[in-house]
Amino acid sequence: MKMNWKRAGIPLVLVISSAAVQAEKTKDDLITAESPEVIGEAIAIELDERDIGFVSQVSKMEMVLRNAYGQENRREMETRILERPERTVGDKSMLVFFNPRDINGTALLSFAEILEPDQQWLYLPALKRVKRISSKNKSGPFVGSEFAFEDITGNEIGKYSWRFDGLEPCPVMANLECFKLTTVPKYEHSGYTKRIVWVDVEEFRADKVDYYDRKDALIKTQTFHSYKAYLNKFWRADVWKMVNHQTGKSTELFFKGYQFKTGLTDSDFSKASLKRVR
Amino acid sequence: MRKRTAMLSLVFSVMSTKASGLDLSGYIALEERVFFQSEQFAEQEFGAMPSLIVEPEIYHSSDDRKHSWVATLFFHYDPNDDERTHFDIRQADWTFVEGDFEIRAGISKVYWGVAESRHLVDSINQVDAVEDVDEEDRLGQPMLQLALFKDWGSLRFFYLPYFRVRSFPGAQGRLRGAWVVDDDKPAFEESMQEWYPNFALRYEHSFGLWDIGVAQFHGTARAPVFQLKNDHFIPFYQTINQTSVDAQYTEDAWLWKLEAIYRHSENDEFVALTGGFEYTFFGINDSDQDVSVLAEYHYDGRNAASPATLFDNDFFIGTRYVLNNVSDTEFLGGAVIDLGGNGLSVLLEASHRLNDHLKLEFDARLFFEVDRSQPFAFLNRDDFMQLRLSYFF
Repeated sequence: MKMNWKRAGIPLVLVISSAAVQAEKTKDDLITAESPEVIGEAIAIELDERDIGFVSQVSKMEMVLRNAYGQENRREMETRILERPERTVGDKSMLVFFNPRDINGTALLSFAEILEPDQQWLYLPALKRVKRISSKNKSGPFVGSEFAFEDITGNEIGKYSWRFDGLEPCPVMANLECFKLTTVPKYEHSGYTKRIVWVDVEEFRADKVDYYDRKDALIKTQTFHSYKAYLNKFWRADVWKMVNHQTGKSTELFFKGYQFKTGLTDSDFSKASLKRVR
Repeated sequence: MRKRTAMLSLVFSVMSTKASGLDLSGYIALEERVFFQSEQFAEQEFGAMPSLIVEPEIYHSSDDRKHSWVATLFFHYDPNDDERTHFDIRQADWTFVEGDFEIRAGISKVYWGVAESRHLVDSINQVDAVEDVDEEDRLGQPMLQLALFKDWGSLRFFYLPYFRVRSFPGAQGRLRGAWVVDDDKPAFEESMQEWYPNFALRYEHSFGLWDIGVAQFHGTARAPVFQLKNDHFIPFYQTINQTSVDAQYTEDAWLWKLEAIYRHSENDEFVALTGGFEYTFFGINDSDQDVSVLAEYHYDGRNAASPATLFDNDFFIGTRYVLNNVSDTEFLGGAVIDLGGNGLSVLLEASHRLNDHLKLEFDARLFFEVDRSQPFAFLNRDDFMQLRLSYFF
């Protein structure tokens, strides 16, 4: 479960070129005479570079699901993420449910990969059973919400090709300029043909994402709200909204109590740790 | 190290009010079980049988999360069967974690295995046999567990100082044979009886797409054989040595599963296995819904000196239908077919969340054409359906 946008799986040559220059790149450094694909990937790498070093992250997440008639359902969970320094793999994450109460204590452990399938284990507290599950189900709804598994777990930038489509005023954040990017999934079993992503040019924060389904029709729009910088560096949005244009349903995620560099280690992200996850 | 620990404890005490307090959870459930065929034995009941189940749990952990305590109590009140009315401490244990080492002491529950239709290698906790016939309800087991987590896998040692005898339906209860099991007077191969110490060692690891478990158990068999005495069955518990392997290979939408045991007792030596797959069609017809197909083959080579099993040469086929909606609506249907022509049992399960606290579950178990000479022929007239409404807190 990736709750931020960050690196992984970038072609080695690009990693070396970006690592050679430690200073943060600006809009003017990135928009060169190169092709839109090269600029797009350079923007993605910069977005990613700026988020390196959070080590681990814990937050509470409340999810509000609304159907077309305005009826609400709520979920409460805690998310824990362990940054994996290797660029060839994604992060490890643990998701622990508190609400609805019948799934209290249920936990999902994921080892994100880049183009390989993720590894996932589900803990069922009533049986004390740890079950390895198929991670093929990328486009299915996550706990009945408008977020698909891939919307939440799939933001390693190496999972997509990136193309720079120009500069536009940010759709959500007022008075800011955004890079407009078209990203196409490179991994198997995605529910999307493409995503259009707006990222602000100052702090490289995701502002809005349009999702296009397998028929290339706009299906969902995600927006990010109330960004805060943690440890003066790591920008996180307090609110994510996802609207499904085809069903009229929507889901909002509210993040609370962000903590970074929490002291969590690999042993807190293991099959054995699922049994004492609370 | 000390600095990191201090920081961790600070983080968790700020982050979670649960960590410092007592966390109370659990459920209270009303169950209506309906037997729609008339009883076989005079004392038994027929028709609808309501009962009440309560299972509260208290959890507490130290601020640094190295120590945690869990207490889970279970009470089932069934006005139709005194034996099914029972209280159990499902869990009452203390866990201590330091780096790659873990100690767990007290009454605990452990789950081993990967298969769905038979729990062959799951042999630490006694089956709470009055709850259901699927062997998924288990009694709390007193134990000391020492675990080591390394790059090469996890190793757990179990010392089980006291044996829990299996609970069986009473004279009024359904799902029993002609002779009522007198579980208050069990007999044992070992003179130390319940106090004969049991030991187990288990290794577990994930290798890429493989998840593997290997275990060795020495102690009292969880299932008894029966000795007829004064019109009652006396359960007799043998001593066994059992080596088990369980493995799952997870690729794409396939889960390939295998459980196998080699068991040695004074009068028998045999191999049993369960193997099969679960394949899921995700997002059928461009919807959010998933359909899975499950198939498992069961072989069991035990002789008549060992506790009887339904799964001597059987095939399970089933399907799971998951709506992936806000109510987590789910259906599971399947059949266990005896390949020797000795009958068929069918199970249906459904669950649906009504709101944040209420959940409705339906179960049905049907038994067909069990050969009269077979040990489980008594189930023939015990088809039942049950509806359970649970309030989770």
